[in-house]
Amino acid sequence: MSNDYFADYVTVGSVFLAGVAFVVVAFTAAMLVRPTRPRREKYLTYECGIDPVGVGWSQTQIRYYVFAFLFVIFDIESVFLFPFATVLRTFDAAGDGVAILVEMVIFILLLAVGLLYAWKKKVLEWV
Amino acid sequence: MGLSDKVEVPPPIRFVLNWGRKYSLWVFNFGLACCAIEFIATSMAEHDFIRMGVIPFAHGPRQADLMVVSGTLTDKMAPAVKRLYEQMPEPKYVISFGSCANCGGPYWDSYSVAKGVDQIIPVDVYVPGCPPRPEALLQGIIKLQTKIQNESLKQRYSAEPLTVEAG
Amino acid sequence: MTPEEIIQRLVAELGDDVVESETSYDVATVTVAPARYADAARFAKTTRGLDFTFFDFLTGVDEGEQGYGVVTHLYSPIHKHHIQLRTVVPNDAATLPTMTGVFRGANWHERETWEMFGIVFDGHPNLVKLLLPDEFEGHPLRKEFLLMSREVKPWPGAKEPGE
Repeated sequence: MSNDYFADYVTVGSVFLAGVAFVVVAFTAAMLVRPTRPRREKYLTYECGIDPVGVGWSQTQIRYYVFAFLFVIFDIESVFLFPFATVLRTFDAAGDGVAILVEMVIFILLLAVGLLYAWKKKVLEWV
Repeated sequence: MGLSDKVEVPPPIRFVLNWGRKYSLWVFNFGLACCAIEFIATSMAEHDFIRMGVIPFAHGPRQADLMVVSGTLTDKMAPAVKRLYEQMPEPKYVISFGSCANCGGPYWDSYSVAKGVDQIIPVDVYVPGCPPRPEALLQGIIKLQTKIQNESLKQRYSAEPLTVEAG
Repeated sequence: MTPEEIIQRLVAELGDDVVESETSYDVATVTVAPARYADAARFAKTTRGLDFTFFDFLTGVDEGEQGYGVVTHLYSPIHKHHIQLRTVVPNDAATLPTMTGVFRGANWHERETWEMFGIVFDGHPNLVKLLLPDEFEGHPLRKEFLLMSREVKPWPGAKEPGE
């Protein structure tokens, strides 16, 4: 019984160890085999052979984060909407249909207010 | 802590390592002039050098181990070629493709042309022609692969002159 | 307009400053005095009937004893005729008024002509090297420029090119 209990953990652990061992063996073998010739130019930024100008950093565009964030929120909203849609009819048969419909509409309206706020703040523009 | 250039690797292991190295060349096409078009033609469907294991169009010098200099090397471009050659990781090989890259070619007497790319970087195989046929580049690649098969990295990276067995 | 009519219009405007003119392959070549070179181009561009609004190229020719020739090819897309405006500057006083006020595209052509022949263009906004490396000394396309490779190794062919 205790053997069965630990069997799955042993499987997972051994797969993990095999993965680690694979990486270690591959990298060590490569390190042993390859020639080592450190040169100053190998650490320079690649700029098609000419001397690099400027800084390699650039500022991230915030619009990607904002759109991903809004997507997640409305995705979760749709996750709530789908099961609601399946059970609405049973509640309607029991007589509470209007009540839970109003609940869900309030939920959607709250998120719509958030979307309106985002719109007014001009974060929905891509450029 | 690489060993292959400090230790004389025994022949069976050397055979395997050389075999792996010669059939997995990533080529950094340093196309400068008309020979670059012939190089591109060699990489396309009819004469395909990818069947020799040479994968074309490495994304940069740091992902390449073969550099094919195809075209005229001008004095203004020479520092860029040197910089890119040095940015390639060892072990690296150079094929000089076309007569302009071999020796200056038809522009040998110009005021702005370097007489051959071997003035600034070491070359392994020279492919003559103006421009060479794609088959000539295929033969050059095969010659390079023969050279890689028969070489020992310790000898290549030592200061003594290289002795290449005929093959 | 035929080439002869174009030449007539230019002679009527510039008078004695048109040194010579000829026509070959349906293209008129008009040689003007160096001081009026940019004026001739402006006249060719702005005159109704001539309307040479397309600037094709400006280049130099080393003509040995006579000096450096400078040739500009202009084309009129409206009337579909060509003209070559030519001038000759002496070897020791190689200056010309710039044409960048008339044609903006002449900027780089004049830079290249300067670095290859040494002809200075007065009024050019940015007369620096365009194609040659920064350390290059001399003006290569002049006939007197020595090609080091030819000095070291003579021409291997049996005849000089041109023989």
